[in-house]
Amino acid sequence: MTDTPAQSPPARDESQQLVPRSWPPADPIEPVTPRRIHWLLALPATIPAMLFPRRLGPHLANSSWVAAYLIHFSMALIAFGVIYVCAFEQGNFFTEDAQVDIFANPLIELRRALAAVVLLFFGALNGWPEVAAALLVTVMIEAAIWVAALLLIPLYAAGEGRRRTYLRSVKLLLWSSACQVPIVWLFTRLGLKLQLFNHDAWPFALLAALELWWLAVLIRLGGRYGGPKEGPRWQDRQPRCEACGYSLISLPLEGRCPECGALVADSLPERRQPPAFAAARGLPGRCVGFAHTTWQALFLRRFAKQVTIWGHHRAARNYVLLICVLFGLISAVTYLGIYRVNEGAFLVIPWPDENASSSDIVSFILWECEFLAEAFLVGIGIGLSVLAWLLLLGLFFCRFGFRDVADRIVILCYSTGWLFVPLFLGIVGICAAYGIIELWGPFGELHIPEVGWIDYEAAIWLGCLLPSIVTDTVASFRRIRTMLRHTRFANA
Amino acid sequence: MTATTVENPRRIKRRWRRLRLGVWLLVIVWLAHFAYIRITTPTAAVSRQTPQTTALVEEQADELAELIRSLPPVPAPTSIPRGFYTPWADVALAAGLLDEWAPDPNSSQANAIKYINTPTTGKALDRIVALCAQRQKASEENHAPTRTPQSPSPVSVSEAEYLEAFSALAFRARYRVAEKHDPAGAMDDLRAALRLHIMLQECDQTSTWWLDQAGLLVQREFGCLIQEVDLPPPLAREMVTFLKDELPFSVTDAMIRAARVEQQIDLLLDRYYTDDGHGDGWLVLSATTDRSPWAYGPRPTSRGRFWNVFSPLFSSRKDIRAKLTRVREDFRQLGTMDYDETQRFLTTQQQSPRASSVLNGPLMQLTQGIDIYSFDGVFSCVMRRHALVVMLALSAYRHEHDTYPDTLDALSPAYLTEIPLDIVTRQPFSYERVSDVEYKLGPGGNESLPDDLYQQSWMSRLGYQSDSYLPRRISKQP
Repeated sequence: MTDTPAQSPPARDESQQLVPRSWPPADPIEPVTPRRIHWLLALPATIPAMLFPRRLGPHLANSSWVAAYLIHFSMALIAFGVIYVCAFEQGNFFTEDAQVDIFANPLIELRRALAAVVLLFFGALNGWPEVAAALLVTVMIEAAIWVAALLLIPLYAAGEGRRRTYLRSVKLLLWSSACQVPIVWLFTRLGLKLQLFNHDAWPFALLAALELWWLAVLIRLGGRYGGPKEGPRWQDRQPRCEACGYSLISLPLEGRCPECGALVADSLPERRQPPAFAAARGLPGRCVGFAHTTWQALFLRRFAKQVTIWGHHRAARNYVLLICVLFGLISAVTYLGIYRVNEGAFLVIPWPDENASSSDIVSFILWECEFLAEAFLVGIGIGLSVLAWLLLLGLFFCRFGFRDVADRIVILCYSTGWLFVPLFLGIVGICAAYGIIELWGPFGELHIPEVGWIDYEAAIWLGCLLPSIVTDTVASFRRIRTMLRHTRFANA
Repeated sequence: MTATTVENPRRIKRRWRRLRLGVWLLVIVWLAHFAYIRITTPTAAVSRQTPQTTALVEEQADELAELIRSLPPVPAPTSIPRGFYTPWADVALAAGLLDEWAPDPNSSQANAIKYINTPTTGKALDRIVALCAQRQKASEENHAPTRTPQSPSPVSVSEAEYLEAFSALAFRARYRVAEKHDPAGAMDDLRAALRLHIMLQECDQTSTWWLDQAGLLVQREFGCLIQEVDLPPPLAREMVTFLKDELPFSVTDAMIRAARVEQQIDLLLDRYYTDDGHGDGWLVLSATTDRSPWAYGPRPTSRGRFWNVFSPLFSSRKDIRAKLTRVREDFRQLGTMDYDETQRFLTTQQQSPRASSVLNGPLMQLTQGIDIYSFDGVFSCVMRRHALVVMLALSAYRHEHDTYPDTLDALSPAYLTEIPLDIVTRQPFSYERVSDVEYKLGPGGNESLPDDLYQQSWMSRLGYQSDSYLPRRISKQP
């Protein structure tokens, strides 16, 4: 879907000065012409789909369910096979001297993966109870996929109907299973080659990085819409009072709402403008726009009454992703600072001697830099938490199941700017807790007397993080609800 | 022009429909082919006629297994709890046999003698000795291993059961020497135990560690007895021939046998693969049942022929044969290597990409050669065989000269054509005559070697620390 600047409503009849019968669509995008991918071509289509997800997404979404499930099941089996190749051949992943061929023939690797799956089932399926258990687990996983697709609706909604968005989410989620094969392959092979499994944080960091790529592909798959122009985004809208939702058709522009008495002029589309982030062009403009929009989301109480919510979906989604990245970076840097203060010095491991092999040197570097992997994990965790928080709140507020998500997705995205408050409170709380524990802890200058069952350290942590927790839950909940209420009957 | 533009999409659609139909037909034919060929074709072994001699050997194997199972439990030394005794079979020797052999109603020996003299035990042990000898004879006559495709496991007995059999045979050997003055009978018992050890080594389902313990038990008793009684030279020569010719006497042979390479090449391929008559065939997955030789993971009880549809995924008979042959050729290189070199070689071999591959299917663990962690046992076992040969010659020498020689060179050529080397260090064993009734035999070279490898306490006190064994002379038969 391509964003276009908001179109101003048609000129009204100045002589009569009345509100027209409808407002035209604010940001009617032109859907991509979809091309169905036949199931026979589904397997080869996965490679360009992983490389160019945004381009292929609409076509994949319009392919048949047979193709989607064929890819889903076959790729899941191959991914399992790749894992079990390592499990069978290496015994376990913690083999120090594993001989791994990174540049193996892909066709032979595929055959090995399938052979491993057959061996796995051959060994495990001893009778009908095992078969039934395997089927049950499969059904449960598939059900979980259908439930998880609900969370994708705000990221995929292009203004089409709710049912269409949901089915598109499910189908694209199924198609995205193809990413798991390269992820698992790289995780096992690269992990074994670099001996990452001998470390605590590196394997998880590698896995997190690879899964992040999957998430990026998943989000980009739904970046364009290819389907009929059916849905709220292409429909004319009835003018309503933004305060109470009363129909304003044919009312004088200078008048008031018969229901609540609010000025009709306050409900006119001109009152709303796209946020600075959506209106900005170029990287510097985007940066300034991001800061401005965040500032408004944080401190301007009437922010939700001023921004356009009928269009600019892509800009709003980009804003959320930028927020997630920024939160991840801030958290990682904070972790590094805390680590530096807390550990005092990095691990001191002697540099390998001149006879050391390349794997020894790699292992040494990994040991020395393990804190980087930990910081990366913290950053990923916080960034994804923000996204999950947004999606869960959206799921809750949009009448359970994103019924009116097409109208609310934009303001939902911009509401995440407010999460800077709990983030900074959390950082201050963590630093304060460390400081207090350093001062009063067992090695501090002031010693806290031990009293019975009280765990002072836990109490300090709780006390310092309480403001962040409260703002994150109660205040942000209220703030987002207010924003959604302000946009409930928005006319632009 | 307009008509052409209208028809073109239709023609494209029609072609596309035909193409899909063709692909579908190909898929169906392909699946039907596998469903028919791979489900109906049996393994090579099933399609062949079973020879008469094989049936005979099979019957003997079943009888042997039944005899071992039926042996009553060996009485534990009274000073050691039963729970300790059973899993640690060599404790029986340390605690029971190596103590002073003086029959006493209250001692462990009295219980052992009573056990040996039980008619059922005596008959069972006699029959075990006879069957082991017969199987060996049949094997030599057929110039083939004692195993058959239908029964890769010649003696299917549990670890606890065969440990009882080894203990019983060792007890009886000791009893025959100490009480009956019958060293020839004792040697028969020990020979049977060593043959049984080899047979069990060929089994697919036997834990290597337990088998090492069983072999150690018999070899220790063997070594102790030939230090306590002087064997007549013909008997000693017979035992030397037995050790050198009948048992694997080189590391190469022992490794190949322990890794079961020959059996796999000759028999397991027939059991699990089809044979197209040109040396090739495919894996019959349904043939790999609960007796299949995969080492790890769950063992399937039985599998339908449906599973054979997946056999194209796995390596063919030809590939597996080539892999096994390469493993065997790799083992040929072990002949000149010492312990450290062997360890390095095996580590490299096992970590090579061809060592374990899922493409080998359920035979994956077999085609990777020997388990790197169990080769110590093989090495140690062969080293003890070499030491036993030297000790047999020393025993025969003393039988004739009433004293031990000053150097091992005195044994050659009258008693030994060639003095065996200590294969761990590839150097001659160290030897020292202490007195007319005692000598010290130890590892060649002065390198510090793993204690577990040598277990040298039975080798004439040299370096013994863990038990109180002193060779006591057993008086000759009056």
